Amino acid sequence: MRTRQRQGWKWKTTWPLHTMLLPGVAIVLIFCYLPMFGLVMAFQDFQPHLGFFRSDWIGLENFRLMFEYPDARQVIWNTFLIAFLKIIAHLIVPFVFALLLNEVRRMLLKRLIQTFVYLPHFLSWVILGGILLDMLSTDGGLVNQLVGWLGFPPIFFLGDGDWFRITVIASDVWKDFGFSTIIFLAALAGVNPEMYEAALIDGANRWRQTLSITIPAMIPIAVVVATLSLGNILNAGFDQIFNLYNPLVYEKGDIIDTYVYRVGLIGGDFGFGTAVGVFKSLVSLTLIIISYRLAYKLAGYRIF
Amino acid sequence: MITKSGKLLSITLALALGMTLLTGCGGEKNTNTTQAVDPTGNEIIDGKYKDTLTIKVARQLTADVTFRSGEDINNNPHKTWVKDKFNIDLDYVWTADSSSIDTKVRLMLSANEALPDVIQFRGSQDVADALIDSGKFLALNDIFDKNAGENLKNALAEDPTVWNPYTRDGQRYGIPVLDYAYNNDPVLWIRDDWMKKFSLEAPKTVDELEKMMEVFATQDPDGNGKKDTVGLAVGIKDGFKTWGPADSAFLFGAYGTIPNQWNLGGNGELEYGSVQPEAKQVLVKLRDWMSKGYIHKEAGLQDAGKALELFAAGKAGIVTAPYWASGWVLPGVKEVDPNAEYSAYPLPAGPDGKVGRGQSGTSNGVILINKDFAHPEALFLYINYLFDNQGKEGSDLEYGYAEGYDYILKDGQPVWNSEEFPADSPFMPAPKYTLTFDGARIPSQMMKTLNDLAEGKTPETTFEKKAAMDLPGNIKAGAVNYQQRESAMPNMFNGSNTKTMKKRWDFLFQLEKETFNKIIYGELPVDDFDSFVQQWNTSGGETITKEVNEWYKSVKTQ
Repeated sequence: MRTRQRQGWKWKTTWPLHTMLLPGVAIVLIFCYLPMFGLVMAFQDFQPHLGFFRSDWIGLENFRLMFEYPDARQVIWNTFLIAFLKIIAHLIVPFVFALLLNEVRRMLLKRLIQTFVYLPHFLSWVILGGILLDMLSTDGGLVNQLVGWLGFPPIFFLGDGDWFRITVIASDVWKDFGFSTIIFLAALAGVNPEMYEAALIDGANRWRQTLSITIPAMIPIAVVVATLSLGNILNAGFDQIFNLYNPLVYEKGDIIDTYVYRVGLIGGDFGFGTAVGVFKSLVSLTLIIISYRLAYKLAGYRIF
Repeated sequence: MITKSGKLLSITLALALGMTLLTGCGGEKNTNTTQAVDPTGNEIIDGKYKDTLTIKVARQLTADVTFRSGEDINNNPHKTWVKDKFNIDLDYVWTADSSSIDTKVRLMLSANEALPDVIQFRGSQDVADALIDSGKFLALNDIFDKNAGENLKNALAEDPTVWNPYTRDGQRYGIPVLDYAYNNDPVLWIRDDWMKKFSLEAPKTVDELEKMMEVFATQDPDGNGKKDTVGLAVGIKDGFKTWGPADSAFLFGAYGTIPNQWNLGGNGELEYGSVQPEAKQVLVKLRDWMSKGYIHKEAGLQDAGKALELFAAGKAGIVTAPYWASGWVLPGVKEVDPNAEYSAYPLPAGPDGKVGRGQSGTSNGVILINKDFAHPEALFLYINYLFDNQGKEGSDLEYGYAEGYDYILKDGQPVWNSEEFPADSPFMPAPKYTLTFDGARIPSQMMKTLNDLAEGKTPETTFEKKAAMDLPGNIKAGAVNYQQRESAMPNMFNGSNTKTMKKRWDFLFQLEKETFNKIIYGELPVDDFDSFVQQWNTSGGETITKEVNEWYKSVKTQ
């Protein structure tokens, strides 16, 4: 009785806040859930002028083709590999960088570096694609001049399949690690300074402090970041690949998103394009569920 | 008391006014409906409709169609002119830009909405097909024969393939919108100062071209002591036939085929250029040139624009580009090297004397007429007039579409240069307000005129005078383009993707680009071309060729 009254009272004071939620909920419904209806295309021989209702149903034909075409299989593997390596790199680099930045004593310098590495995050891949093409050129590009100084022959970064993958991962990390670093720095800011003082009294040097206090403090958040990014295992980055790839590296660089774009939008095979997209979403969904469970189990982290 | 009655009075007055307005509107509406119910009563008297004929139009409207402030597509001098001239009211019920017109039409079709009388369409072929296949548009064969004027007929006859995308079993379902022909066809641009330096002459054959490339690539033409120049700039990232610049399809053309498109074979069937045996010979050449540094090491990473920059940066001596390139992109080279000179030359011939180039499209849109529209002849009345009178001496369209918009009169003489327009009423693209997107464009007119001008003709007509305002480099290049027009090979397949194409084309095209690039880079042996052709055929290419030919037979009207 009492609690119910309390809840009613709560509702009375919080309803304006709840109303404020409505537009957001409506937008999500209209733009995220309603279009999902279009997924029926994956099971149809979809013809735009016939629409969803009159196109022929073909069952799982599109999905069967996806695993039959050698190019589709290669593309799924490429996506998986590139995305996996990206996730690993995106975990290690910001982690280490945050650790190092944390040791910088001058506040101004720290802030400056932080802003500086954060900046590339705001550049679009369309622009970066053009810049990278020049920077990585074998013909007087900045990076290859450096390689030349070190006494190596120029590397065809964007024209050689294996180097292409490395370039894609490295440039992606370069662009976004500043952003991820912030999360780790936030975790570090939450460490109680008394722990360091206590460690100092116990005679621990900087290195010992890092090993015993700083890193353990960062582990939970690292686990959360890692498990949550599992859901992105099939997102290898459309913008980036689309702006960098070329015929010489199709075999190793083509990914699901660029493939769907070409087959579905350029080629006009909407049904097949959607089927590949559905497949991607299903895999991602499974991984998100797993990662959510893992995040809760390993780090006690819950979103809902 | 007074205030109260005053209030009452004003309310009564307002009500009365409102009533009259309402009845006024109602009256107008009534006359409109009577017209719609009885359309046959309307007829053309002296080139003008007796009663106002309203045509509901939906059109693609892009940002380059600019309007004076306060004006729009439903309120501009051209619309007024059409109303005065023909008593036709062009009523634009909706417009959409190029990115949204496809979606808008698709939604309209799937919702089964009422269609406007006319759709002025410029969008993807898929959507044009969907419109035609909906069965809601008029078959035009008889109407066209009966109503189209000579000039319109002749203009469309210059390139009969423009009808193909809109033809079903010999019936035509739309009026193709014409553009100038050969607009983006490549001509060869060569650094004249480099030619002079080594006393070379413009290459007439591919062999001579190769010799010139060797000199440009190895003998340091820019004199900076570094080996940093190439002979020919080509961008092959997106295939050999580009949309214009840094094209290498002309090399294939010299051997008799154009890659990345469907050519008309000797037996009257369409064949895909990249899988013809001729293509192999060109790959051998390109492979050799790549290994010797005659073409850029990163040609495989560069698209057309990026490769064209090589020429503009003074790093390449030869490049293909459309005739208009001396106005844009190419002048960049003068910033790097003030002494740089360049001009346009004919494409070189192959070992058998053949010259070939990809041909740019002559049509870029279509006008579709609703089946239920009672007066299709009205459109021909209007379009015929544009084709008969645009630029004609003594006509109201002699100088342009609207004085003060696309031309002004100074001391009775027409001026077209936008810089001479008064600042408070700047140049406006009035021809773009027309139902035909750009007024009346006769495909061959542009290149032919440039050729005439290059041969020293004094400009007389409006068209010639306007063309003569172009840069001398462009005019010369236009003439070169025109003189080689016989060698232009159009892509004969301009329908929408066939069934197997949708499924397999992406794979086949990727395979083609990958194989060709790897052959050129020396990563695969040349003979892999043969296994590529075999794989191309077995992985769907054969079926696609069959489908393309079935399509071709179905659209041929003769």
